[in-house]
Amino acid sequence: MRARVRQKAERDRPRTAVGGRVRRRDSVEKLTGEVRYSSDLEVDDMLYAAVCRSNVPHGTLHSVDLDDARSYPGVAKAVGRSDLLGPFDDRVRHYGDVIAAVAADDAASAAAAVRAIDYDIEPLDAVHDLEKATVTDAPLVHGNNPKFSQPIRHDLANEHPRHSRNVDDYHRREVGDVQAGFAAADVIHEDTYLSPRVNHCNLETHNCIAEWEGDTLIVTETIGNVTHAEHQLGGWIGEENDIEIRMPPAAGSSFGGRSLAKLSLEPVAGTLARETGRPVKLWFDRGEEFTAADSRHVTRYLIRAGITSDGQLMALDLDVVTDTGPYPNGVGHIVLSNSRDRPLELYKLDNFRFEGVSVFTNNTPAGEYRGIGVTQLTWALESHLDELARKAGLDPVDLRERNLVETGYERPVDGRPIESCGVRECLERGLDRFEAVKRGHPNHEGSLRGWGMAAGVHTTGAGAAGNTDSSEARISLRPDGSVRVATAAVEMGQGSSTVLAQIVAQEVGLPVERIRVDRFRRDEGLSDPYGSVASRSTYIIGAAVQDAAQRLAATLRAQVTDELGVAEETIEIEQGVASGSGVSIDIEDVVNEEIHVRGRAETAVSPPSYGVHIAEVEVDPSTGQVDLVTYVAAQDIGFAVNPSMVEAQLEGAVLHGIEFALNSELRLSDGFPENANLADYPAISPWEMPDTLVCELIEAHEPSGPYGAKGVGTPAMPPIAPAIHNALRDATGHRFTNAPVGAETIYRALQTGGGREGVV
Amino acid sequence: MSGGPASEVTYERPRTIDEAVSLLERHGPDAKLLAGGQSLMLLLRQGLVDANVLIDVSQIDALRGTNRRKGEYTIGAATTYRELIEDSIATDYRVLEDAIADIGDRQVRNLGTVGGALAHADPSLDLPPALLVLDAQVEIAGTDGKRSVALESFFEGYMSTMLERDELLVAVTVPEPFDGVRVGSAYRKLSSVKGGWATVGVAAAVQLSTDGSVFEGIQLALAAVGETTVRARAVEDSLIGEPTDDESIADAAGMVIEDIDPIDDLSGSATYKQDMATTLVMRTVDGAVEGIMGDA
Repeated sequence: MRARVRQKAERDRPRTAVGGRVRRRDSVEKLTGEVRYSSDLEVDDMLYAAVCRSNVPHGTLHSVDLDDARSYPGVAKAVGRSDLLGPFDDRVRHYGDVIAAVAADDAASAAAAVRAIDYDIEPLDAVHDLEKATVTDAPLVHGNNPKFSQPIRHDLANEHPRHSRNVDDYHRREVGDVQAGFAAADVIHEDTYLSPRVNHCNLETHNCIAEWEGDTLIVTETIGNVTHAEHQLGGWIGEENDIEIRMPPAAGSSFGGRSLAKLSLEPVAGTLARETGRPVKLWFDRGEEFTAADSRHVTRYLIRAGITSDGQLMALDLDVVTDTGPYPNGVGHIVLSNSRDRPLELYKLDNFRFEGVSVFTNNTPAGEYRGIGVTQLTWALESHLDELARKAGLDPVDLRERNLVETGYERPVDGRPIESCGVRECLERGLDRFEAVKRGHPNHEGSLRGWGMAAGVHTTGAGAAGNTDSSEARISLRPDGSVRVATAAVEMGQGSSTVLAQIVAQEVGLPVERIRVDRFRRDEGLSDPYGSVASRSTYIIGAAVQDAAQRLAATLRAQVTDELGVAEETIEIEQGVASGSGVSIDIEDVVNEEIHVRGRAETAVSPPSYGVHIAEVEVDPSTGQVDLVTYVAAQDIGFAVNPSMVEAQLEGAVLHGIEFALNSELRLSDGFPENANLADYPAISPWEMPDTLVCELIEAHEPSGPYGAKGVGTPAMPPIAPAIHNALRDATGHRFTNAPVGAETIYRALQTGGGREGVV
Repeated sequence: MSGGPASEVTYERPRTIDEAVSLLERHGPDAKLLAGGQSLMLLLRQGLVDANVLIDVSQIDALRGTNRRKGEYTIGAATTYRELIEDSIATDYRVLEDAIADIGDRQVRNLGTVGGALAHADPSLDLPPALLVLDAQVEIAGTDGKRSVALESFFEGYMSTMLERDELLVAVTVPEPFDGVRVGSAYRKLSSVKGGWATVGVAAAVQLSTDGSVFEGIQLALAAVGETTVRARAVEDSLIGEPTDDESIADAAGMVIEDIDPIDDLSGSATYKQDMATTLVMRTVDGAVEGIMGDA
């Protein structure tokens, strides 16, 4: 890979554009409401679509009668499931699956026409329970590893005899000798954890506009992973068609929800657009968002861990089952691989065994959500180790300290050393900070107070042994001194446009206000395999931008040399002014015609980013209600290109983590949603955020990242829910192994005894 | 299987109470009254309610705002939560301020109305118990003219009131606090998230002896623990004439089990709600008493 290890002197350069708290480039237009999201978009001659959806979780669709819908005023087209472009057979596999769709002149007519559709479904036995999904007599959702267009697919190997049906994916891994490890352990603890079906609750629900140009389906919507989504869609609607995804001016948030295409979004809008020859807009309502878009994978972890009496981790055994829902999308694989590999990047584990299966069910779809799999895994693992430490009479902090990895540790994942590992510094500085800011005593008489911590790790980007991650960028400097930057990043609110502008400003020596990062355009032809996913925007796209910006700076310097006649090495460009040997000139007086440069970066590693989070809770024993009093998020981000935005990423993650730990889940009863609306689904607000929330940024400097930067968006997620649950354990004496844990569960636990006696 | 017949919805926006009444009479059971839409729109969207005619009463001037006259407050039915919490009545009666502050979010409070909350008669709503403990009366207008009934008898069952098809709720009246009587009130609510549906909600209004040591009067009402908003008469009866100390309040609070009939639902199990009702009755009565003593 291109060497990007900075010299020390260069690293210590004053942080101007990079490292500064630069205001988001889009903050004013967002605050003033000028921004146009994809849901705001309308194009000429556009039709509005609505979808008739299944109200049973599994059934055979015998017939669809579209006559009344077709004759409804304003309806341009009505199509049944079998007419849709895509892998739609005569079976519906989840509540909310597609039965038929309508395109009409306005949204109300489309919705009304959908209500006029008559259909005949014969309900089938359904699979809802994770443990029963793979047994030999389970109803079949799909054959094992079905042919179905998805971005990540590999052949199943070593299939376990216990998992004979409905297998989406299967992974197994063994390091060392687990039996021997347990034999040498003094204390062994085993428990089962079940994670919640949490929804992103993005403010803007999924929507797109589909239109055709010849054999090309053009879809206008925000997609984080354009390459994978185009692959999915191409497979769904037929390889003879081309797919082009166009970005709207601004995106509603994603948190993984907009990484991939959705089976009942683009193919449905695309079919109606083709049938009518007109652009078609499909916009999910909140109910569809819950039942036809994705939620986090419900995942069951059976964990067994053993330590010596002084706290050395001797063996860890993980048995994982994850619910990928009714259709394969490649994400079950990621839940498993992250559950499999991350423990080995957090702890020195000589003896490790993993077995995991992703199963099909007739529950609502699961998909990408911030920290896929690693969020669930870390909650379970860090809860488990905390409990194990208490069981062994050890301080949970000491147990972590004893076993955490460090810089230079060669991970069994790929045998390569970790180049930057700030986890111990996170622990140390996090605890110091917590001591300084914690409440320490109850706010209310009779309340139970406790604190807990958890560590977590997630990798940055998609590089790995055998997989090179790369990106390209293009920069244009105009004669007026303004700069346009084209990259593979998709701005979804994470702030990539601002960070990438900062990098250009830093390298070229321009005011950040002059730099505009264009929204992603596929026709720029920039080579990049993934886009804005996996916390890779700053790391690898930023590195490509840095490379291009350095080339631009070199070109500019040469032109300044020609103009001023001073030695190139004496030239400094700052704030758009070039100076050297006592003379200076505005760069717009140097640039006579537009300068174009291209940059590229690649990496074969995916550096791990670490966090140690500490929570303090207060529990009202008379109601079971939890107040999150203090929270410290100590996070190793390598280098903070923009500390304010890093803090915002951490704060946002804390909100998602609290929902996972305490509040939110889409409840299904035999596949039927019980709270698929925002009145009943308890999404949290700033009221539920910690009273005191402190971010402690640790910069462990990753040699492969621009300025030492690593990812933050995803790695911020994993430690949150376990830190809160470990604090609850400390406060109540009870270990909660199902999330979210609500007030009633806590109240009952306290009523039934145990209480603080269990606390060591 | 069918999603049901498609329907065109007619939207009416009367300017007077008489117009609204005649629209109700004309359209009968096909019509639904709409003010802020904070309950109705959710039901319509979920397909739980079907309406061919929506009669929007939010523009009827006579239904809006509050006034204070002849010893009572009159609150127009189309007064929004926000207007009510900013009114002097919410200063006189903390129970209203407490209850409204915990309803939904700012958007809901800007649109949701007093009349909507009462006519919807969802026992989980927060405002009805708050008005119940203030001995509110409701004013009803219909084809046969106006009538006034006690709020308590207005609620007949789950989401059901004594309103006839051709009637609408016009106003709520609440007596002003009497001079010289020590009155305190409070609302306490338990919910999974701030502003969410009540798991249990308790409203209390208390009248104390001059020295604040004895309950001379007490009204208690609960949300989310029965078919309707319920009065907790067993607790009230056992507290009248009793001292205002913690022990008396705790003893009486347990009586609430006799007043309520909660069910298992998304917000909690029936047994949890029973326990929470007891706890919240204690806390709410404490809050109402403290309101007085704090003023002293």
